[in-house]
Amino acid sequence: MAKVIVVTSGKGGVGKTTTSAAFATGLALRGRKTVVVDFDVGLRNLDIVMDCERRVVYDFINVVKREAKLSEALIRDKRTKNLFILPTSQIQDKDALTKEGVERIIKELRRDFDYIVCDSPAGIEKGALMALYYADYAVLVTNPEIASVRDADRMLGLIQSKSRRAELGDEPMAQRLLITRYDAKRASRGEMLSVQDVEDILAIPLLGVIPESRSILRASNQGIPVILDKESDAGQAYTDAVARFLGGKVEHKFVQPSKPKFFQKVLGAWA
Amino acid sequence: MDAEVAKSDSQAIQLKCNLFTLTVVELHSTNEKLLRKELVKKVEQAPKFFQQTPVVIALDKLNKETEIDFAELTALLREYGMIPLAVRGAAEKDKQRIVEAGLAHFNELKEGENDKSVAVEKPKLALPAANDASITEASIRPTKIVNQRVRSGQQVTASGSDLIIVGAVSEGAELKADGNVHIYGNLRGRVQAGGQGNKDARIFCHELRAQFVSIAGVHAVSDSFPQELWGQAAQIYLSNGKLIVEPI
Ligand SMILES: Nc1ncnc2c1ncn2[C@@H]1O[C@H](COP(=O)(O)OP(=O)(O)OP(=O)(O)O)[C@@H](O)[C@H]1O
Ligand SMILES: [Mg+2]
Repeated sequence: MAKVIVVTSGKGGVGKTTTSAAFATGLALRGRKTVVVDFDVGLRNLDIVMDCERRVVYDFINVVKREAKLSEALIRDKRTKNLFILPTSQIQDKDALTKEGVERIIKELRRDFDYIVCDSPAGIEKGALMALYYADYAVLVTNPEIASVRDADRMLGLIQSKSRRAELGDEPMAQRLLITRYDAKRASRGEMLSVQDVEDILAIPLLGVIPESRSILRASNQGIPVILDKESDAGQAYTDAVARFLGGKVEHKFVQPSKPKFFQKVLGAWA
Repeated sequence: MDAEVAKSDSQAIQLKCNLFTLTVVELHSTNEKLLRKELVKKVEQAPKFFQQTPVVIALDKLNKETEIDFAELTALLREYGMIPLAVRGAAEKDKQRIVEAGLAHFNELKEGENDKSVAVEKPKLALPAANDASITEASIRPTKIVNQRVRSGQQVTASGSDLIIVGAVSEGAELKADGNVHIYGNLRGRVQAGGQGNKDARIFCHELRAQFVSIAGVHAVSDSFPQELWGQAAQIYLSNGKLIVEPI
């Protein structure tokens, strides 16, 4: 059964697009046929992060308006097998999305893919509501600061009332927390919320903690999802989050500030 | 006195609904001799009980055709120390005479209703109609219970009743109730209790971190809570027009 995942946050600029690209790539690397759909109509960041902007002929909105077939708009990723991108329009705005159009496309994607990852726009308006409406699973992206956590909480309330599952009275959408741009050192000094603080407020299971990392900027400038950067801490953290999503038990890294590894060094000398 | 009357457009009377437990004298016969005999016996068994005890006369077990002299019946019961207030299970034909005897009559019990929830007809006092409102206000509505946490941006209202939240209340969430508010969790949001000016309403929570609380319009923001109670289990109530925050 295909699963629709929405990557959402409420607040802008917290790392939804970075996460959508990494997560979709991670699922494809694990052999799941995956498509990542850009719901941020008018802004179109996903194709830059995925480095496919020069290959866009038709987009999501063209398909919604029946100006193109879904197969014509889907872009096959150059690097990763099993991975496709459905880019959005840079010209239209969010009003171009209709529930019927989105429903038709999601239905069609469900037939062909294992996972459909929806990159939500910021805010709590139409675009964000459309992105979460058909989802089975929500990844709540939040930074360790109050405003972002509050917006995530707001979003969880909307998922509870405004999703299709809620409207139909089906089993509620699964919800997982992904804390991004986490700086364990600053959190331990009380300059940011800690993982524990965020978990206390939002009270949903933790999927992963992505550290604040320069590797993200480097990756997005090169148009390579950070999860492909095996050396980077953020890449590792995303790989672990995907593994957890698929049911694996992986310990959370980057939650504690890294201490000088004195004992490891001593032991290392013996090894 | 006239001056007092003139200025007292405010309340000299307040109507409230209350539930009382009353003794019911259930009649199985109307034979005066028989009744006296049994009453003597009962008074001997429990003399204290028959001192100024308000009672309701129940006719449910009698044949509806039975002729009853309510004035005499009342006198008889009074003789043995009881104060008859009303009659239950009266036939339609008797109602007029019951009223004439200075008694009220309760409506017939509907099927499924037990004795505890007897419907009382509204007292017919010659008071302005506006007072009817306070009767309905005071009547008890079922408590509203929410079995999940209330998140930012969500609002829960309980008009005319208490509100119970089984879970936390997030920052940016709002609760409004005319009665008391109980939060079995962390309270970080906004709460208004005692909505219709009910000064007796209280707020209870497991962990006090509220942004804003108000009871009958008297409010406080988080900065004004006592530091030592922050994050503690607490109740909030009004005393002499001031909000009191107290650990529980
Ligand atoms: N873990 C991280 N470490 C450092 N920088 C990060 C991290 N995650 C995201 N960023 C940076 O934050 C910025 C916003 O990220 P991104 O575009 O993914 O957010 P978004 O939630 O999709 O934003 P929008 O709401 O505008 O769609 C980008 O410049 C990105 O490189
Ligand atoms: Mg984005």
